[in-house]
Amino acid sequence: MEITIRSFGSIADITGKTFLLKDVTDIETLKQKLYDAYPELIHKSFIISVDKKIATNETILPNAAVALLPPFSGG
Amino acid sequence: MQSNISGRYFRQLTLKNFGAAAQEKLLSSKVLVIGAGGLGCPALQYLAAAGIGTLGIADFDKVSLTNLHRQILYSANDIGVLKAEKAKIYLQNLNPEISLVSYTDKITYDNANQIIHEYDLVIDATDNFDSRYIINDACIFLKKPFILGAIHEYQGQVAILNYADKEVNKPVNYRDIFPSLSSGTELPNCEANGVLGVLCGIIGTMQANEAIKLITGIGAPLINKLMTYDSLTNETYIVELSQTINN
Repeated sequence: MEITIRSFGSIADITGKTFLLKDVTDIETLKQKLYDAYPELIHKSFIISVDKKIATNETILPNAAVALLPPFSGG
Repeated sequence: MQSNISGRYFRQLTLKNFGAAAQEKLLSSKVLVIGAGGLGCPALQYLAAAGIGTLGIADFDKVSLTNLHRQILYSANDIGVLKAEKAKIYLQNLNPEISLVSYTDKITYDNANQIIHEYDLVIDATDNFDSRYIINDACIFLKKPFILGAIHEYQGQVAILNYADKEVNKPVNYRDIFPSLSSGTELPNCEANGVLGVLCGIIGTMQANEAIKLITGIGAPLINKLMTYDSLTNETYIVELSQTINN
């Protein structure tokens, strides 16, 4: 299964604003695939939202809206 | 019926679902804006104009030339002047009918509780992570809500955190969503990455808007919600926050 992921802020600098990942079934596999594809993310803080809610280790359905949101610091 | 409310608020008093009752709430409210920079300047300007009864301005910094493209309360003549003092003068001229208080010491763990204690609501308009955690932790201790605002290049974030009422299950704070940030080095600020003044204006104004909504009870404020705004595409992305951590 392939899902589309949106990235924001400094995460988008690494992944691009949207990207695809295959064989993602839940948050844990998502994290593993993310770190495999973009090792720099291991050192970054971000929250993962699924369908615009903070996700726990739940199943990610093929049509889910997944986003990676890092903290912003400027002001 | 507009009681003794000043005519300066007439154009907002006539708004549907606003009126004298909402204005009275603004006039009796106490809001502290921490950081009188890119976000704080527009937030302060609109909150003062809207009639926040007591408006606190906290900033230890002085105006510099590189501030002037986005920190719209200051002019070239103000370089070297304390921002909180200059902002207070500007805003008092803008609205002589409200009380303004300036704080020129840096907000630290030692003084945060004492300063924030005086206010109903805090606007976090700071530009660094250490300050954000100090504000967060003081607001948790004092049970005060705060409105986060932050910028990364062409994007901005706004959220109302640590707000609790009977309709909200549990207030979410900044450590709930970003608990493990150990230093400021991970996160570039505007000094390192650059920023357009207009984005600061938009995000700071959104913070002021959320404050007005929260105080007056109109609309759907971003309580426990993180909004990201992209100034390049005009897209917004709103995520519902919870105390559950996945980062």
